[in-house]
Amino acid sequence: MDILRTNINTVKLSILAVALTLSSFAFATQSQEESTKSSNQITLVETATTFHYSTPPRLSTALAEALHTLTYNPYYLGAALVEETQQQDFMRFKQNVMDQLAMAQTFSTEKMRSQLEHTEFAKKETLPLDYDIVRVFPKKNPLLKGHFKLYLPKRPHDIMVYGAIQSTTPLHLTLQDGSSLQAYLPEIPFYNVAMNTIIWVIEPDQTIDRIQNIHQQKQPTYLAPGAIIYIASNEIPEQLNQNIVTLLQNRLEK
Amino acid sequence: MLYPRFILISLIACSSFVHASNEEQPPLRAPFALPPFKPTQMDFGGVGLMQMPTGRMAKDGEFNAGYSHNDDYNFYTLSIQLMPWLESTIRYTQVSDVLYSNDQQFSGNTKYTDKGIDFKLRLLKESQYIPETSLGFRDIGGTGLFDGEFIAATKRLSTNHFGQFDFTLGLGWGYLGQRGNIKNPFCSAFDRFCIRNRGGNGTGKVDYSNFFHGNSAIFGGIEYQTPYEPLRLKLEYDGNNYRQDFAATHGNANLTPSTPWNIGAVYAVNDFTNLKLSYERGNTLTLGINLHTNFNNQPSIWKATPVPALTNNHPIKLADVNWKKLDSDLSTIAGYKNSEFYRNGDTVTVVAHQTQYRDRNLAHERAAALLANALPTKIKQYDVIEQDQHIPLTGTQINADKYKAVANVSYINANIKDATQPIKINNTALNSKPLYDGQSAFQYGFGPHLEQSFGSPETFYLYSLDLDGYASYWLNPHLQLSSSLSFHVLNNYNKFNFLKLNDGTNNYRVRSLVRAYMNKDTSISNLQLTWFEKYHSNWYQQVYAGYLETMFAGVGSEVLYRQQNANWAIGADLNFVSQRDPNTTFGIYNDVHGYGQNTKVLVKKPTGHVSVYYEPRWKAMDNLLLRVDVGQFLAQDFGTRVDISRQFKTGIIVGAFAAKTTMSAKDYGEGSFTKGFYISIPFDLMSIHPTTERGTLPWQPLTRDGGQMLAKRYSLFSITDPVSPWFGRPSSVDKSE
Repeated sequence: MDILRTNINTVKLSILAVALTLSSFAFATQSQEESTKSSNQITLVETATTFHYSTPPRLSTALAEALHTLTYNPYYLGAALVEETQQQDFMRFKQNVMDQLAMAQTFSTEKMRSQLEHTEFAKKETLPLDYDIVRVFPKKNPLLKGHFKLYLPKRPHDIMVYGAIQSTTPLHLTLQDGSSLQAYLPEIPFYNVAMNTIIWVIEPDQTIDRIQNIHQQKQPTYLAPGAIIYIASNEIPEQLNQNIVTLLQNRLEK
Repeated sequence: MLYPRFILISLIACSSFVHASNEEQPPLRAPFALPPFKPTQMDFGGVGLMQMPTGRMAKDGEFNAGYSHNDDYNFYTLSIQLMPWLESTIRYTQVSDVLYSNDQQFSGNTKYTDKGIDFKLRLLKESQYIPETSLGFRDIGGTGLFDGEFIAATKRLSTNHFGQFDFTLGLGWGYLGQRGNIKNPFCSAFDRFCIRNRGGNGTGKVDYSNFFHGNSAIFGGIEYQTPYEPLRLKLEYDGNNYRQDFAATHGNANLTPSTPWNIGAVYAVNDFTNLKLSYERGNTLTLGINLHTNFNNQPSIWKATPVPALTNNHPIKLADVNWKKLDSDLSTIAGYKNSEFYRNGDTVTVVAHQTQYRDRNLAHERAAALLANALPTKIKQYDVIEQDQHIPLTGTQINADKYKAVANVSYINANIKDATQPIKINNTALNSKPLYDGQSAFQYGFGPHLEQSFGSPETFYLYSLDLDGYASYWLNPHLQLSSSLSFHVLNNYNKFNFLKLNDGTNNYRVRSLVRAYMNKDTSISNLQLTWFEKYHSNWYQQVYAGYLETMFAGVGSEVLYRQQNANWAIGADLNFVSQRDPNTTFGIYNDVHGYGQNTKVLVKKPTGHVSVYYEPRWKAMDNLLLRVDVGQFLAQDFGTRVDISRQFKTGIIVGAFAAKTTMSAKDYGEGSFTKGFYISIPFDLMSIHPTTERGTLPWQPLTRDGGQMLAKRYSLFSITDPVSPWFGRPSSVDKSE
């Protein structure tokens, strides 16, 4: 019903756009383009459904409608919201990281570049997408102006390993309930160069943890389903390792 | 209104311990993970085993209050991890077998009491092969009952099923090396290191010449965190043979050990209490309790008033605005007290004093909401000027339209900071006639005030619980008449044996006569006229005259130069003062011997200092403030006073000061020079309402006359704090939703 109403509004908007086209020749092409799409839309990637809104909707409204189309409970820690038109800076950043890795031309960086090429990235908005949090706290329920992609994945049953490991694709390890990072270490095919290195844990909600000297670590680090372990490479500068971590924080489920 | 000196140690202690959280514990622990290891305290205070220290440091900001008791000694200790690499401990020791003095008239049957200060510095952090290694100094600058030095190294062994072990090996000198089971390595190199002088040095003097001298011994031990979380066990090899212990040499105690091994257990009753029991020397049972908290992670419990929702009924004209209601709402909801409103084109300026929110963003957001609802929509900008004592300090411009977008959450991660920006204060706008003036010329308040002192001859604890009343009246926008009255409600000053200290010195009795001033039912601690002024944008001045503090009357002035957001400031003050007569309410001495023939009091003398405030911005000196005062002190001695304080994430400030002047240690008397410590606590840590007020717990081991400063009613550095916040810095501990 809501979608129907928004469609009617879209038609009204199109009429307005046509009127604008007539009145202002200079902006004709641009306006025509906009008349074919509504100005605010949110695409739920999992079901490939697009919702159109004539006025910017609240996040809670968009989430509620998206949830109606799902047949499972989403895994909110791994949920993501991506503004499609605001990706240029991030894509430049990503290209820069890839170029630097290509220039390094070491054994580990070649593998890492290949792992990253097998992965999809986009700048994620940093806000909670848990429907209950969004609807309860008004400040966490913004208006969404523009074109967005919404990811509401299922709960994964694995964790991933990137970085200085002997694999050209990211490694998927089965999640071990109640185990800390140490439990996964025997399964990771380390390079010699990666021994005693810094390990980063990137949780699915983008929080990161930097662990130096893993064998000395007294406090366990727990991994949420869908977390990423990044084995920093000793062959590249610390800053580049950190940039890769930033990239991995913005990893999308394919 | 809370009186600024509102002090209640019990309240502070209780609330901080209640908030103590077990920060080392991860929020979710796997079912089979072992309990985390948290270092515990030794009998003397500070991280260690029982008698012997370890190389461990507690977590940054850890604060520990302890008591331990055996037949020979009672230890009362306060220990704080001041920096991640620096631990410091203050200890009061009562010796069971020795009296305070042999003079029954002077100290009755009060037990011998000794103060001591310890420091421990970390030299190496623990890593895969290197143990955590620290260098420590025990009982420096005291009578040296327990003076000793040590270097200790501690390495952890974690097992999967049997808990964690901390192995310590150390080398001790002095008290910690009395056993002499190894030849002092320095003695092998230089003969003068072979002998340690006992006694001789004056109390309070740091005696470097004894460091690493005399006997030395290897000591060591194990602290074991059992798999049963609350229980830790300890075993140590003692580096002391107790032959030279004070209780043995000056009393009748027998401290001869039957074994060098001590064993003990620590049981955590809850997150903030440890009980300890040990069997030492093979013949002595020692009991103790420790309460601990961390100044870096006590969350505050106050609830901010919700931000009022935007409405649509706005008055059309400024004349229709209900200013009185707006003023009172700004005060109760946004914390901006006594607002004055001005208009300049489409800008309304509010001048007010912030009393609630250390975090000014919370105040701006609430003020913006109130102003947006109360003012006509044609007003596009709100300028908030924060002032204290009518001195304008900071300016913030709020854009009305941007605020509406923020209030409406029109975009992702909308924040009040998107709508505000700092501005220079426009004085011309403030010189016009205000639209409304909510300033009240008369202000008053009252609150409890606790004075306390430990380790006096008469009794261990002297206290006075006072009710302080405060009132001020503005004669014009710059000139204030202010006064404070103290009613001494409850005290044990009837135990006083003397009012004038007979310590054999002949200085102006600028502080050592303090008891004569306290020994009254009521007192006027302050009655003065003050003129406040600000020049250009960064110069501040106050000029004052009257009864400036409990002990002095006179005239003076202070100037301060401080820039916005600068990490330094410089100021100076100059005063001419005379000592007040404690026997009359308003009397002032005209004669140097006015109090008595052998007692000098101060009459019409100058005192003043140049003061530099500096906050280093280096990583190892994080959140430190250094204050240096150079000038003439009250007793007409010339010198330097240094004050170093550290601010923790909660906003709690712990500081220490010392003054070294031309007055010699001999002229100064016991203590050699003036020094002391203080803890300053933001009240919003324990209040359910937000407040910018603070309380200070000072501790000065001895009060003598050298290196003493005038206790001025107002300090320009505090008044101008919002310009570059130190005292008003918001807590950086996460606040739960």
